Amino acid sequence: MGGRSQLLAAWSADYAGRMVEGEGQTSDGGGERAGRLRAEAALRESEARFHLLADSIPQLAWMARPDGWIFWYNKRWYDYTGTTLEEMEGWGWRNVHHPDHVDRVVARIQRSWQTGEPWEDTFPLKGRDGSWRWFLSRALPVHDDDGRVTCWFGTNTDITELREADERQKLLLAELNHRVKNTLAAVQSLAGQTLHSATSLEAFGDKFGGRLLALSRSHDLLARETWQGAALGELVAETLAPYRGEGAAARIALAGPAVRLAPTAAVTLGMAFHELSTNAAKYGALSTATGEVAVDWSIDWRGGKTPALEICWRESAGPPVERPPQSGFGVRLIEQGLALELSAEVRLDFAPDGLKCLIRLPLSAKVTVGPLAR
Amino acid sequence: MSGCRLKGLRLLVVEDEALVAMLLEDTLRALGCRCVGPAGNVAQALALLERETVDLALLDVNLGGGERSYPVADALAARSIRFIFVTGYGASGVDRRYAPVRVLQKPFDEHELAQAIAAGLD
Repeated sequence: MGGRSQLLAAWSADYAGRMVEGEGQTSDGGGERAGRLRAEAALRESEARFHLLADSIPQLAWMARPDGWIFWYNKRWYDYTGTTLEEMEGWGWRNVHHPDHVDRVVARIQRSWQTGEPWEDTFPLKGRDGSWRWFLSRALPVHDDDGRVTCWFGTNTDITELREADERQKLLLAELNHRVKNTLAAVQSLAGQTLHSATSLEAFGDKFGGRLLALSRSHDLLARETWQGAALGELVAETLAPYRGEGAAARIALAGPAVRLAPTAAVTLGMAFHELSTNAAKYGALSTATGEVAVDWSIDWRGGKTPALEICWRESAGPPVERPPQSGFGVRLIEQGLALELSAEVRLDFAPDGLKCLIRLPLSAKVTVGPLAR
Repeated sequence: MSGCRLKGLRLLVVEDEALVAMLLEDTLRALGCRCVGPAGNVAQALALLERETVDLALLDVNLGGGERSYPVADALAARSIRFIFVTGYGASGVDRRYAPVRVLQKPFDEHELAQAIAAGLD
């Protein structure tokens, strides 16, 4: 505490020293002169220490007269704003404030100048390159022995990254809450539709459990990428992973370029691949030891149309295929759900030599080409 | 209760998530309503609105890929067709401009949806 008030006294002395500059010199006696020289040396040393401190703190710092006229900034202020004392002195600082904030900032700081109450505000300041960064700014009055304000000492702390992290966290929480609610609605939908077509409680349990796991798989992939998206290749590979048993790897072939899926697209496509996989395992190529499944995808860049992702699921060497007598959840999701959510064109072909499913998805914010940004 | 009032009503459904859209479709069918759509984005919804008769609309707010359903809400308002927001965000996730509009929070059951539709008609 004592150290702090000494420092403040030095700052005040610095200020007071400038105030008397230019006043006429008076003649001194020898002893007085020596004392004064010592005092001046001490003051210079104190001032040098102060500047060392002021320029090494990570904040922008400044000092103002009791009426708010700013007469000093530290080096960081000039380095950041690219200005000079001449430009900044007095009320010049308003030029580096954002037009949307400056009136509020001025009103609030003037209130502090008038009342002597500490000041705090948060606002953007323009850097020398013209970009804006956010600063938490505080100023405290320095009082003399009679309690009068002799000057103000202020700092601006760069909180841009803190604010951005805070914004990201808020967005992420809102998004997470939204996702949880939507996921519960999706589970409700799965339960209702599975129940509708179930022949027994046991059959319901099997199918519903499988679909819930498929949903969970998509979520695992998304969680791994902090909910930014999922890679199509990984989604297909993980969906088919349970069927890649001993020696079976060769009969499942996946190939295609890197494609990113937005979270909702990953959930819906994940469910579509799950339905194709379970259908293949029950009735199609994966129900026999020799059947094969190939999933290929590519981007159709042909001019004139929106570029599109084309996914081809092709089963072969399995048992003969027939279209199921009534279309259940899987067919509805693939034929109607993908069209709704991703504007997909789908051709589900129950060809006798193996099921083929062609999905054409126009590239959009939900489906983009390239690897995930990690 | 409101069951008979809802029979035969034509509801435009705007919802991008396939599974949730299916749930809305099935629940509306169970209530005896007719589902117009579902539409998965603003363009589809506006196109449906051009050519179909709609008594009331159910709008998801966030349609994915950064798209929101507000242009559909404005088009409905211009035609004096009432609408309800159906969203996982709850009322806090809806733009303040639409503050008087009813919000149905996901997930919901048949009864809650029926109540929201009946209230939306009044």
